[in-house]
Parts: sequence; structure tokens; C-alpha cells
Amino acid sequence: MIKHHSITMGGTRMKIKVLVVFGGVSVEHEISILSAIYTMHSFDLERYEIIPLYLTKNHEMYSDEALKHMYTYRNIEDYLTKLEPVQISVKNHRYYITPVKRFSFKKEKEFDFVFPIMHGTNGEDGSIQGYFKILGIPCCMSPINAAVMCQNKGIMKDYMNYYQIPVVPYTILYEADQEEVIYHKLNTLGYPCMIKPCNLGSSIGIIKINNKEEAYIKCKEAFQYDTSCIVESFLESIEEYNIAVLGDEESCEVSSIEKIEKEHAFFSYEDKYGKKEKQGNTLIQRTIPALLEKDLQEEIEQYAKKCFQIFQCRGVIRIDLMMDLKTKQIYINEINTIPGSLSYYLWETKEQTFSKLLDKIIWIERNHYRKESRKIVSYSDNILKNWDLYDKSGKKINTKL
Amino acid sequence: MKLLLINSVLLLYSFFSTKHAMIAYQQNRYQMERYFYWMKQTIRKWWKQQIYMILGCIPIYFLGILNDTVAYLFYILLLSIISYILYKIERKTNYIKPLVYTARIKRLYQFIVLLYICIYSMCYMFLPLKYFFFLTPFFYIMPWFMIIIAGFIMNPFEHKIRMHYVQEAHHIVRRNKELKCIGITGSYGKTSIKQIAKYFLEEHYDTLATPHSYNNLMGITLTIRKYLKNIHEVFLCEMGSDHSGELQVLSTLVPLDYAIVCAIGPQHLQTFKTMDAIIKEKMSLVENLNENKTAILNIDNDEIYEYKIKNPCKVITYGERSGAEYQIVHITYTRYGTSFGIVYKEKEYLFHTKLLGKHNVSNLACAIVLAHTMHIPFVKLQYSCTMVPYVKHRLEMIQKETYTLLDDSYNSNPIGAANALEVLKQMQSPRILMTPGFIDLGEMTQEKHFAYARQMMEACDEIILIGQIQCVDIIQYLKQHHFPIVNLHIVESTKEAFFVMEACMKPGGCALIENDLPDIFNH
Repeated sequence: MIKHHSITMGGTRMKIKVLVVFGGVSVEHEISILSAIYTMHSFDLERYEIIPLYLTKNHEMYSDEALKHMYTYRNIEDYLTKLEPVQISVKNHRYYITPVKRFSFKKEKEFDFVFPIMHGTNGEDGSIQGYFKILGIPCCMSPINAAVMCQNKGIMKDYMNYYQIPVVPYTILYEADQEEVIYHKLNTLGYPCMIKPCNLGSSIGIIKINNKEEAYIKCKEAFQYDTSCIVESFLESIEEYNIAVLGDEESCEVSSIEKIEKEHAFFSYEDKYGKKEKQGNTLIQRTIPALLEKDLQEEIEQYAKKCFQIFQCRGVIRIDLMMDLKTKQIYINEINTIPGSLSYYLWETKEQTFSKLLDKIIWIERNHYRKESRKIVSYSDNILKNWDLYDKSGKKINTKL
Repeated sequence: MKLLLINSVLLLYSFFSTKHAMIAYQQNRYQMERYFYWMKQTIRKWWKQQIYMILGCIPIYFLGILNDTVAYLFYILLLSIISYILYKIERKTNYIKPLVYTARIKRLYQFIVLLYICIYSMCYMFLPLKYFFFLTPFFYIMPWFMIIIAGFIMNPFEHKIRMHYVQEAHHIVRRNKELKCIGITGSYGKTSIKQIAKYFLEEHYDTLATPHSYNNLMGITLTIRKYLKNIHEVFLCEMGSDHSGELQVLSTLVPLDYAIVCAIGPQHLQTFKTMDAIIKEKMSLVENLNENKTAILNIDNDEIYEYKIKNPCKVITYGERSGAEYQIVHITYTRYGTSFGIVYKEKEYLFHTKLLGKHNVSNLACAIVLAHTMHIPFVKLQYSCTMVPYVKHRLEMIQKETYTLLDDSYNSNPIGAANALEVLKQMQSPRILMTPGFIDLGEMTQEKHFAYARQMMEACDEIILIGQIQCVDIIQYLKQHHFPIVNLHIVESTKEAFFVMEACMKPGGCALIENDLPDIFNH
């Protein structure tokens, strides 16, 4: 790289304005708020000006300084009644948040980059990147393709299979599948097994199927969350690992590996986020860095990097892996393209502060955006300049009203 | 009521001529000197038009014999008909460079309308009716003169407004202390260098370049105010100058870290008067640099090579001439592209590009020197060089269904035109050239046109010249030297030239469009 960091060049540099987008219509709405608040307070405020953009569950957007603080969300509905919704606009390659209401007293705010911190559907699934891509606004983290593929567990596992990355034996069920088809697929896979909605994260809708008798009912239960579900073989004794990868198409680096030990065989949404007092005490135990044999550590790192490259991810991602303790086989379980708290805790042992991590993510996007803007995506010539429409008889159609 | 009606109908009647006058004023860059010169050149053509206009208005004179009310009614009716005809003609007119409705033009138009209303009202109130009717055709030609009066009155206000914007732009540039500003000047090649340099730099730095050919004070000011963002690290600024002292103002507006002088030629000799004045002006960009800044110079240009720089700033040279810090060597051309080497510190680096023409090698070399000075390694530049796209309308090769089109329509300098002909020479027959010749070369016009005609004879099978008066020297030379008259076509508009070209073209042939002047200069 020619120049590692424009920001480290010294002197009084103008602040980069970062729009942190969070919330959204997702079951992980609240998690997104927590992640975003923590992130917003971790940016180096001497280099960055942070503008929050909160997406409500009603598809509205709000931006206000108070949205950076936790106390605002204790009674968010009331607070939002005092605010005016905003929208994104682009003019002369400059990006603004402007009030939706015309003749508003609130001024438009300019920003340079978008930093999405949205988890789950309607955000992490590539839709937020898509929204900003259409507007030509640089948006940090993984691009649409990576986000879409990693969000859908079925596509992700098919793709990893193609690249010979080990995944737990699985099959994909669709809501439209006939009862016999479902039984056939499940019988082939074997019992017990786990059914998960393809497009949800955070352990939402994960159900264990113990035998053939309960299979159909459990499947129908799972279809309440999504139209397609993935069914995986149930592994009796496993060890779980998490690892984060940071980089872009050209190069990437891996974080420390986290080992997770749980009381239950699987972890529900409640266990993860609900009962705070339990978390970290009895239910879950995290070890960072995990004390692993060198071979195992290298194997996990290699798989993590390979996943990052084949999906063409960008920014930071977290990969969840597990090891079958019987066979000692490593499996890739999940890829989070916008991980909770951006997995900053996995980098701390590598002497990388959260603030530095954010710096790097922004720099990666800057670099990428520069390269992308050189690509030919349209032609400046207007071929319609001398174009007319004709009807079947060859007569010119007058489209002028 | 009568006064109101008369004013409205007269405003309508004079709207189109006012528009034409404003186009001329705008295309002469709102400069009175250039506008006067253009008026002087155009007045010959005008006489005929005005006589037609006066003849056309004869029916109006007979209105004087009617009684007042009937005369007014007929007058309004006649003017409305004339306005409608003018509107129909206007709708059919295709401008190469139409009027741009800038804030300045809008202000000027509003002021002119005010003046018109005063004049019409005064004439109507104080002149006998038949004299008022008699003046009608003159109301049509009045805008061309009214622009001069309005221009003179408005100029101090316009200057104030402009200075306010300039100050604001200066403040924006100064605020971003990390911004590296690069000024590119020269008589030709600026835009190409800017675009190539942007391509090289933008992969590594957030780069802003002045769009299109924006290169004067207001163009740069507008770019800064509209497009310069906090995150930009490099500002590539094309700096044009057609009168002394302009570059000094521009380099005060944008304090430069790098100053590039790519070529000095006789462009704008008409306003500069002497070559020395041009050299002094272009080199002032280097002379105004701070001591710790860098100048990048093309020493293949004799004027630049011979100039003694007084400023102790760092100077980097490039060119084919031995002694250049970045020496261009081993240039080879094919129909598909160009290869060349650059020797830096006794080591040669090879480059290949799809860009055509010798001048593009020099432009590329300049951009390479700049990028290398800004810490981009040669290996990256070699790759970028192979990928660099054609600069729009600057010897851009467009593959049409049956023939090749070389679009060099934005080039207006004799050296670039000669290089384009060299490229055309390598193409398959029929080789067709379309050109309106050069403008703004002052006393050297004839000499340059003769040289150009000589080169044309060597390179072209068919020549299409746009504008009988404009190309008079070229026509004279070609006739004297027995260029086959059947292969020489003289047309009056670019549109017509395209028809002729398409008629002469055969499969596999090549057409070169050289210097596509705005309509007002085509005569």
C-alpha cells in the first residue's frame, strides 16, 4: 500500500463526517442500537464527526444528537414525536440528510461515509448497502453480494460446499415443500437435527427436532419465521469458536480466536440477550484468546480467511465455527457481515483498540470507493438524444402531452 | 394599457435577438474586448441580415397612414406574427454550445429588460407614431449594443458578487490544510493531463479535478464551492489564461504545491499581443510558487526550456530532450496504441497505452512524473497507463459500424492537430478530415493555417472545411498546391460536414474531427 493512512499524516485535518445507520425493521433492532451506541462513542472524535441515523421499526429515519445516548431509547416513542423524520439526498456528489418536511427550520447535514450497524433482516442482508449503492454513497462493511449470501444460510452453505469448506451436513426445506418431501429430506439427513430459518440470526427460531414424529410440527413452527429453513445434523458434543477477519479484496488479517463454552447444547435469543444477569456467569463462558494447539489455530485462521475471500467481504466480519469433539472436525457455522459490536473484543488482545479498528474500516471503504469510482458503470453519451418511438405501421409516436 | 401592450409585444419581439446577443457575450467569456472583436468580425455578415429585417418590416411603415388605434392594433398583430416566426426559427436552430442560463446571465437579462422597458416607453411617449414604427427593425438589432451598455453598468456589481464567491472558495481551500493542490497550465494539453493524472492519482488519493475544461477564476471557484469535500486529499486544478496576470490570481486562489507547465504556444496571441507575454504569463505559475514547492516542466517545449526560472523552488523536468530528469525514450506507434520508455535515475521503465498521438505521450509522461513525485511507484503507474481511458473528444478512437472515427473535436492547437493528422495517416483509406481551422492565433493565423494545409495534403484523401471565411487561408493553400478540387468540400455547419463525410466514407475508412468550434465562430 502506498500510504497506510491519510489520517495519520498529521496536521489539522478536517473531520470526516460519518453517518452511523442503525435500528431497522429486524428482530435484532435493539441489539443494533446497543452496538451502534457503543460504536459511536468509540470513534476518535478528533478525526470524525458522528451523525446518527436511526431507522425505526416503522421504516422512518431520524437523526438527532440525543440518539447517540442510551437514555433516549428508554422512552424512544415519546422522544421521536418531538423530532422530524429525515431523508437522504445527493447533490453534486455531496451527500446530505435533509428533513422530510418542506420549509423545515432544521438544516440539512452533510456526510462523507455511511457506517451501517444493523443486524439481521432489512439491513445486514445487503438491503442497507443496496440503498446507499443506488445513491452512490460510500457505505462501509461488506458489499451487497457478500451480505446477501452470508445472510441466507442455505446459499452460504451451498457456496462453501462448492469451495470445499467444511459445513455440518445439511438440507434445505421450503415452506411450499409437501409433507412427504420434508420427511424424505429429514430421513436422509437423520435425527436428531436442528432446524433454523435461513435468513435470521441471533439464534432466533432455532428448533431441535428429536425424531420423525415431531418433525413436521417443528418444521411448521420454524416456517413461521421464514419461507426457507436449513436443517443440520445435531452434533452431541461440540466446542464453539469465533474469529473475526478484517480487510478487503486485496488482503485481510484475522483476530484472536474466541472459545465459547455453554451450559446448553444450543443458545436461544433469550439466553443471548434477554437475562443479562445470567450472561457471563453461568450460561456462557468466553475465553479470548482461546488456548488452542497451533495446528487447530492455523486451520481455523485459514478457513476464516478463505471464507472472507470467497464471499468477497469487506470491513470486518465474524465467523462462527464449531468442532465436533468426537471427530475433531471443524465446521463453519455462520458468517456475520455486520457482527455485534463489530467484534471489537476479538481484536483487543492483538493490541488493536476499537477506535483503531473503526479507523481501518473507514480507510478500507475509502480505498475501495476510490477504486470503484474508476470502473466503467455507465456511458456518458445519451443514446436517446436522437431517438424516436414508432408504432407498428412505422408512424412516429408523439409522446409529448 | 396601450403602453403595457406595446412593451410586452416588443419584449417578445426582441427576446430572440437578445438571446443571440447573450450567447455571443457568454461565448466571449463576458469580456468586452473579446466581444468587440467578435462584433467587428461579424458585422459584415450582419448587414445583409439587417437589410432583410428592415425590408421585412416595411409593412409596419405603412401603418403610419392609418389612424392611431387601428395602427396600434395592426402594429401589435404584425409584431406578434414576426415574433411567432422568430420562435419557429429558434426552435429549429441547433446550437453546438447553447446559452447556459447561469445566475449571471439571468441578472443580465433582467437588467436588459428594464432598459428595454425604459427605451420603449420613452420612444412611445415622446416620438411621433411614424418614427416609432420606423424604429422597430432597429429594436431588433438593439440587443447586441444593449449588451455593451448593460455589461458596462453591471460589471462592477458582477465583480463584487464574483469576488465574494472567490473569497469563499479561497477560504474553503485554505481550511483543508492537508489538501495537495496541483496547478496545470500551458497553451494546450492541460485538460488531457488533468484527466490522465486524475486517473493515476484517484486510486491512491481522494482526488478532485476541475470538471470539463473549467479553467478560469469562476470555473475553479465553482468547482471548489460545489465539489470540494473534507475528505479530498488532492485537488487537480486546470489553470487557463488568456490575458496577463490571470494565473497569478488563480494561484492566489488555490495555493499550489505542484505547478505544471506543459506547453507554451501561440494560443491567445491575439489578446497577449506577443509571445514573450505568453511565456511570462505561463511561467508566472512557477515563479509564484513557494520555495518548498515543486514545479514540473516539459522541456521539449523550446519556450519552457529556454526560460530562466528565478524562483528557487524544486524543479522537475520531463521530455525527450536529453537532460530531462524523466526522459521519454523509444516511442513507437501503432494504429492500436503507443509504447514508450521513461528513463529515471538511469533506469528505464516501459509503458504502453491505447492513447494515440505523440502529444499524448508527452501528456502521459507529465501525469506519470506528477504521480511518481507523489509517491506512486512506477509499477503501479505502468499498469494504470495500460488502462487509462481515452480523454473525451481528444483523439478518441470510436469504432463505428463500417469505419473508424477519430474524435479530436476539443483540440484547438496546431501541434495537437498535426499529431492527429499523423495518426490519421496510419489509417486505411479513405482518410477524411473535418475541420473549421483554428481561431485566436492572431497574426500567426495565416502561417499556421498554411502549415496545417500542407500537413493535410500529406495525410488526407478528402478534406471537409467548415466555414468559408474562417478557412480562407487553408482553401487558398490547397488550391495553389493543386489539391484535387473534387476532394475538397466547403460547408457552412458541422451538421452539413457530417452529411458530406458520411457520403464520402467507404467501409474500413477513417474520419478525423478536428476542432469543433462553437457556432458563433463558424463563418
